[in-house]
Amino acid sequence: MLNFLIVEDNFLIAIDLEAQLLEMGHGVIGIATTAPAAIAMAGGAKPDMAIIDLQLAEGTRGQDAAIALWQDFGIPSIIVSGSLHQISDAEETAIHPLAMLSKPLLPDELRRVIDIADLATSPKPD
Amino acid sequence: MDHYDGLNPGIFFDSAATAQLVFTPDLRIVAANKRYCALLGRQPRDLIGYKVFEAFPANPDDPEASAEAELTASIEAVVATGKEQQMPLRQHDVREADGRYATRYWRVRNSPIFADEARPDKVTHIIQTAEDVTRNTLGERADAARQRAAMRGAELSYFELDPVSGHLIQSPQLDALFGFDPEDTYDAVEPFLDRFHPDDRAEARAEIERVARTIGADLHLNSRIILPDGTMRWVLGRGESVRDPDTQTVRIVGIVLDVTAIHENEARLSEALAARDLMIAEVNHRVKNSLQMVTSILNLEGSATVDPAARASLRAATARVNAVAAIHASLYEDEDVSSVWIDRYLKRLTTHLRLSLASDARGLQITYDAESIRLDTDRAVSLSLAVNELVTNSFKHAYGPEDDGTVTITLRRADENMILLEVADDGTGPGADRASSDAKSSGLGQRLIAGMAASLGGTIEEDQTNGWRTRILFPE
Repeated sequence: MLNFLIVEDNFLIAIDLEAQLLEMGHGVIGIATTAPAAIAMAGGAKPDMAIIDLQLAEGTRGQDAAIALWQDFGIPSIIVSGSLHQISDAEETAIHPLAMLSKPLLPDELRRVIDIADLATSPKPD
Repeated sequence: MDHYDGLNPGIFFDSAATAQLVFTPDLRIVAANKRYCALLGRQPRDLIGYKVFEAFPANPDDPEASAEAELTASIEAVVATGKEQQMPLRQHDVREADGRYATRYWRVRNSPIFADEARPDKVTHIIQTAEDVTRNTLGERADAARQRAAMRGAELSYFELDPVSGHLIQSPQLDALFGFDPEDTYDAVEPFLDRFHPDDRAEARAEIERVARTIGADLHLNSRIILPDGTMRWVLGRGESVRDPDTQTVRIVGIVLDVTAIHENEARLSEALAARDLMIAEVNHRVKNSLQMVTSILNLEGSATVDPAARASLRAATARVNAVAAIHASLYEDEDVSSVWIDRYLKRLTTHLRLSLASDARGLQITYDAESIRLDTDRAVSLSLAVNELVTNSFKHAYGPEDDGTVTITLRRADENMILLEVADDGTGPGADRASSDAKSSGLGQRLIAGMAASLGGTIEEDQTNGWRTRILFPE
């Protein structure tokens, strides 16, 4: 089981992501709608992974949250956005994302990347 | 000397191809050859014994006529030096038989004759060779006049630059273009170069130097200039380097145009294009977000529903929304948003179907084989929904829980601008005989397939040998 931070300013999408994660048996430490809120919540609760949208509330950017989470706390992100092209190459390098998924998400798409990331980050002994 | 024994030497004089006139140092005519008489329209008797300017008086209407003084000076030089003298090209009009004067231009050489055997150094006569260059000269003048008229007409900023001395000859329009008062016009290039934008000045100098190095090189300047009031203008300079035929010095001759308006339009156009691209990206983002919201709502409804049949319905609805949404992922990949590459799109749809139907878990394969065909977006959406329903049906009915199998999606061009879509399975499961089960269990699915085929303007054909095979043939 992994603990997630959801960074998404659209309430419906956020609670859908939450429901999907809970159904997979994971935990959700909270939903942030701005980049500063995401950084503050991640710093406090130290989730295992974050799911991050790019265009956030109050004109803040998911890239900034994702960079801070990875660089300051070592928390990797899965980017979920309708405009992935907004991430520059430099940002992608700095974010080091587990995956970049285009909205709308396909069924089970999220589960797949989380399972792959989970295996990669915590390999199980034979 | 023997060769022309018996011949009158005068025959050579008369046969010469150039007009020749012989006179004494005091300009009294002693002989004129045939060519000369023909060229001037005179008989020898009209000339011989007369002074040159009695025979050819100056045109009283040409106040600048000074041929007499020039000829006298030339003859004095011939007598003094004993050497041939070339006179500068000049106009001397000739009075015709009817008393009118005709404009004539002459190139004249005066050569000495030494006829006094006792004093071989003494110039006794002058033989003058006269060439009528009226046609050439008037032609050149006409060209120059035409050029001047063209310049005035086009309001051109014309210039002639001596790249070595920096000396500049320019039309008043150039002064005006660079913001110089016509009162204090400069005849040097430096004040003009000083008005170039500091970032463009070095480039302009380098370009002038480059053109000066090669005669005939084309000048290309596209620079900003700053006027005294601080406004910036864009100027376009075009010209070439030539060698001045008289002085042999290099000149750069050209024009300068004000192209500020063109530059401003270009800037406005690229701003508008950037704004359009931004707007398309924004709309694209919103569409994808909205579709995500729709699938999120359906997901949440599904999670909250306990009834398995209702849950299945919501899952089917999610799959249908995804079939439409997948088209949007294929859109905006290139400039054209009115159509998509249907083969690329089918790849994405296949991925979506594998995930939503959990094909791996069931031991089932979905393969696709598509020709590269571009289809307009509306028809691609119809095709997408039809494929979604057909593949879903195969999964639902063709295979038992333990069966392996493959569903194949094929899209190819058929005859006469028709496109053939085929979805085929190799299932023999409990629902393989679908005639009975479909009507009940997948009424909406069947209606969607029929509706989408109709919207494609296509026909449906079904075949039940070796699994289930549905073909939709529609015009391209």
